[in-house]
Parts: sequence; C-alpha cells; structure tokens
Amino acid sequence: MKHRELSRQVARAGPRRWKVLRAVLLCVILAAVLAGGATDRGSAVVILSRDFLEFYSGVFALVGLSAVVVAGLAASGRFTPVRLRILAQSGHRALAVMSMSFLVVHVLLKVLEQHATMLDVIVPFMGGQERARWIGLGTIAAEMMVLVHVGGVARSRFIGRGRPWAWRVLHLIAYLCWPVAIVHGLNAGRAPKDWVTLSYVACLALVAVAALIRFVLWLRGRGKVRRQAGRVTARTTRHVSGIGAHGIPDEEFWAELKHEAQLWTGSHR
Amino acid sequence: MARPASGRRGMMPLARLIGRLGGLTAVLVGLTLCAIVQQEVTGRPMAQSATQRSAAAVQSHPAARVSGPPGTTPLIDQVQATVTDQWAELVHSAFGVEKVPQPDVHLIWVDQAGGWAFGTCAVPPPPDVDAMPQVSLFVARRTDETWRIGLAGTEDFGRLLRDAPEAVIPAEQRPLLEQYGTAKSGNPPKGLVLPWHAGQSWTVQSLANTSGLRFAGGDGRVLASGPGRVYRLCAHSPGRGMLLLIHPNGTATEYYQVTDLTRVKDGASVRRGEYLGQVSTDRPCGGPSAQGPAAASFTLLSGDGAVSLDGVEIGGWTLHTDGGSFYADRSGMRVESGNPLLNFGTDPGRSSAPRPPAAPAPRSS
Repeated sequence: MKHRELSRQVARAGPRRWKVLRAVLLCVILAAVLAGGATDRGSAVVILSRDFLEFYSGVFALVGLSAVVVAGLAASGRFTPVRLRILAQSGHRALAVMSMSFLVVHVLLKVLEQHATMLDVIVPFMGGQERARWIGLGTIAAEMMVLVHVGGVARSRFIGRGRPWAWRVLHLIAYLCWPVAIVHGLNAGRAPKDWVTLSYVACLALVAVAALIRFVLWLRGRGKVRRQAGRVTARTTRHVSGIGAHGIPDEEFWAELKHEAQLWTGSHR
Repeated sequence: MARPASGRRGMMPLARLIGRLGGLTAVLVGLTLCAIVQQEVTGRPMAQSATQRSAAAVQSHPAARVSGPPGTTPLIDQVQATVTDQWAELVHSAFGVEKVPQPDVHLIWVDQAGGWAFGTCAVPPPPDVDAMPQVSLFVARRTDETWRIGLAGTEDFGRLLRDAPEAVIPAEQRPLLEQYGTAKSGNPPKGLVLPWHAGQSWTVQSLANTSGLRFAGGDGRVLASGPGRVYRLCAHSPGRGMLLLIHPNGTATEYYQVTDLTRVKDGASVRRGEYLGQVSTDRPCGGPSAQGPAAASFTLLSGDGAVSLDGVEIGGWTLHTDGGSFYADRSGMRVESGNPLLNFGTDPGRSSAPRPPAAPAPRSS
C-alpha cells in the first residue's frame, strides 16, 4: 500500500519536473535558433525555410485540417474498432495541433508578405485585394478553426459541467469550417492542379457520406433512448441521458473498451 | 481473446507517440516562425562577402515596400532615378506618356561592404496602356555615398561589368551579360524553337503596342526557346515574375504572364525546352490587369531595346509582323494571327512528323 502511494507521488513529481525541464530546454533552443538566424549561413537557411513555408504552410494547414476531420470522424464512429478509435483520437489531436501551427504560420507569413493585411486576420472581405473574396473565406475558416480548436482543447470544461451538447455544437462547426477552408485554398492562391482539386472533392464526398451515416446512427440511437426512457422512471431517465445524449453505447462496445483498458493498466479485474 | 504479441501492450504507447509527434512538429514550426519574425524585424544581415544570392531581393514597388537590408534604400532610389531619367524618351515612345511610371527594382546580389550591386529593373506601363513593361539589368558601383548605375545597353554597364568582383557577378555569367549589354537590335539568335511542347499547336497573336507575340494552348507549359541564362524580374514572391532568358549571342527572349515559374536561381543556365512557367493572366510588374484567358507574352530583346520579330526564324517558322498584321510561314504553309501554330520542335526540315524533345519532369504544386 505504502509502495503504491510512494510511486504515485513520484509519478506526480516526475511530470512537473519534466515540465520545468522542457520549458528551460525550449527557451535554450529558442535562443540558439535566434542566435543562429543572425549569422550569414543561418539567415540563408531562414530565408529558404521562409520561402518554403510561404509556399506550403497554407497547403499543410488545409491538408492537416482535412486529415483532422477524417481522423475525428473515425474516432467518433461506432463502426471503428475501439483500438483504432484510440489511435484515431490521438491522431486527431496531434494533427489538429500541427495544422493549427501551420495555420498560424500561414496567416503571419501572408501578412508579412503583404498578401493580406492585419485587418484581414480579423475581418473578412475588407482587405481590398484583387482576390479579397477568397481571402475573406480564409479569414472566416481560420476563425472557425481556432474556435473549434480552442473548444476541443477545453473539452473537459464543457463535459464536467453537464453541458456536452454545447461542446458538440461547437465542435460541429468544423464541418462548416472545412469546406470553407477548401474553397479558400483552391481559389485564393496559385491555381491548383486538377488532381489536387479532385482529391479534395473526393475527400469532401467521402466525409459527407461518413458524416451522414454518423448522423443517421445518432438519430436512430436517440430514438432508442426515447423508447427506453419511456419504460423507466423519471429519475433513471436523467441518469440514462447523463451517460450519453448520443445514444446508449451497446454492451459489445463497453466490453471491448473494458478489455482495452485492462491491456493498458495491466490489471485483469 | 488472442492478440499478437505486439498488441499486448495496447495502443497507448503508440497513441502517446503520435501525440508527441504532433507537439514536436508544432514546436519546430513555432521555432522557425520565431526565426523568420526575428529576421523580418531586425532586417536581413548583409553579408560582408556578399555570399547571399537572391536573398537580398528588395522590393520597391510602392504597394509592397518592405524594409530591406540597411543601406539599400538609397541604392533603390538611385536606380529608380536613373531609370526615370535615362528612359524618358524610350518610355514616351513605348507608352506614349511623359511621366515615367515608378520602376520596379530588385537586387539580385549586393555587396554592401565592397559597394557593388547587380539587379533588375522594370518600368510597368501606365494603367491605361496595354503594353509590355520596359525591362533591363543594371550593375551599380558605390563611390562615397552615391551609386553609379550602369543600365544594360549603356557603356557604363559594360565597364562596370568588367570591374565587378567575381562574388557579385560570377564569371560564367559575364560573357553572356556583356553580349546582352552590347547586342545591337536586329540580331536575332539562331536555333530558337517555339516555347511550348513540340507537337502541340498553340494560337498565336501579335501583341498590341509591343513587338511581340501572345500565345496560349496545349498544356499551357511555357518552355525555354533556346539555351541561355535566366533572370527573374518583378520578383515579388516566389514563382512569380517576368523571365528574361539571355541566349549565347546576347539576344534575350522575354516571357511574361507566366506563373508558377521555374525555381532556378537568377543567372542559372537553362537548356532548350526546359520548363519556365505556366501561361496565366498574372502581371506582377504592374500596369493594367490582363484581359481574357491565360496567355503568355513573348518578345525578343537586347540590351538596347526590343528586337523586331519580323523575319525571325523560330522552329522552322519565319515570323512576319510587318505593318501590324502577323503571320508565320514555313515552306509554303502560312498561318495567320489567331490560328493554331504547330510546333515542329527543333526540326528545320519539311517533315511534318513532330519530334518531341525530352520532357522536363512534371512539377507538382
């Protein structure tokens, strides 16, 4: 018993020490990068990477966003095996972080490049450029993306307060954000190759089908909840809907999840 | 339930690894961004030995003036003043206006310490004149606080070119630039081919207000008309601009309204048939925006001005631009302006079987 407490303390102290160490390490690396960027060779590298990012950061942000949507859909799908859902979930988060970082780079570089103004970052359609229409779509998409991302990061705050629906609605904005981002990506910059356009259209169609299936399953699940709720007392109804307004997960799902959890923790109880 | 040995540990370590990868990428991107912002704020350091090539490109377009390396603004201003002064007559005859529009100046290479610079300049047409920009190269030498500017076509250009250090203008570019600076009009190069894939027919029209051609069709890929060295003008952002391809005899072909340009460095040598860009409506030098579908513009140029295309032989076709009308003929065939012109490639004979040259690797976006 004592041993377990001790190990828990170590586990708690470990991450904190790690965090400090990591922050210090990051500061050191940042200082090194800034110092290196001031040298001749370093500045040439910075110029090269800037050219690269100017050309590709928007592409990466959009491709990343597409992958995030697909991964998120896979992670939420009842039809995906639990083990894959866990992978899809971590992939979803990792890709979201990556694509957000590329979005920040994309926006900042376009402002530095004078393709967009600071006003464009906040207010759509006001830049007055030749392609203000398409750039404005980018502004809208970026704002929605940030909103969805922040909502995703703060998920536990929504869930804990018994407002899962608020989080869900917020996260559903992604389905609006993504097509807008694609339209922006295909029109605001250089002319896309045909295969690029076709890939996005195919991706949109696939996700639309998958999202439709998810929606139909949700509707059916909700119907099931209603029918079951009719049979039990009012008190338990609240309890049931607390488990999932999304429909009751079936027995098989719970069994599988339990098994997976046993594999991580190593317990077999 | 039987699981493979590797699956015994579950998905958690892998999931954590994926999460870390995401974080790592974000951190790396963030660090790069910090370095870029730092460079933007502090300005690009000018190498004492001028080892930075193209990196020192400074924009002087009024709409896009950015902070350049310290000390180059007077140079840009002086180049603009020189161009405005020396080209007043040229601009008047080309565009029909008295006031010279503000030249677009870019530095290819600056040796701030030694006081040498090499760059490009372009005068866009005024907003109501549909014409090609007037372009040139220059070499600049600083004495005390002022720069002496030698524009291509002037004697100063040749003199400064000979004196310029190897670091500013590499030796292999010199003969060509010298030829370009002294080539007299009416000296068309031999062995040019039509600047698109052999075997394709593109529609060709003569340009309004300029001795040049406008063409579009096929796959839209514009290819080098002959071997030479390529320089990018109006280079505001990567992949955009106007290309000046100087051929060995000093005459240059000029390609405008092309986008997604080849990423070779200024002064790099290109082979005949090498990819240059994609036809477009992009006019990065300024002036009126292009009307209608994407089409590239093409002219012949030497250091002292435009070269007439009349009588020039390209890819077995002889071009005729006399009296405002355009046609091309080839062993009895005559193609009028606006009709498709078949590229026979390098084949000067009368065989009608086109021989496609080696295709450059397709570029992905």
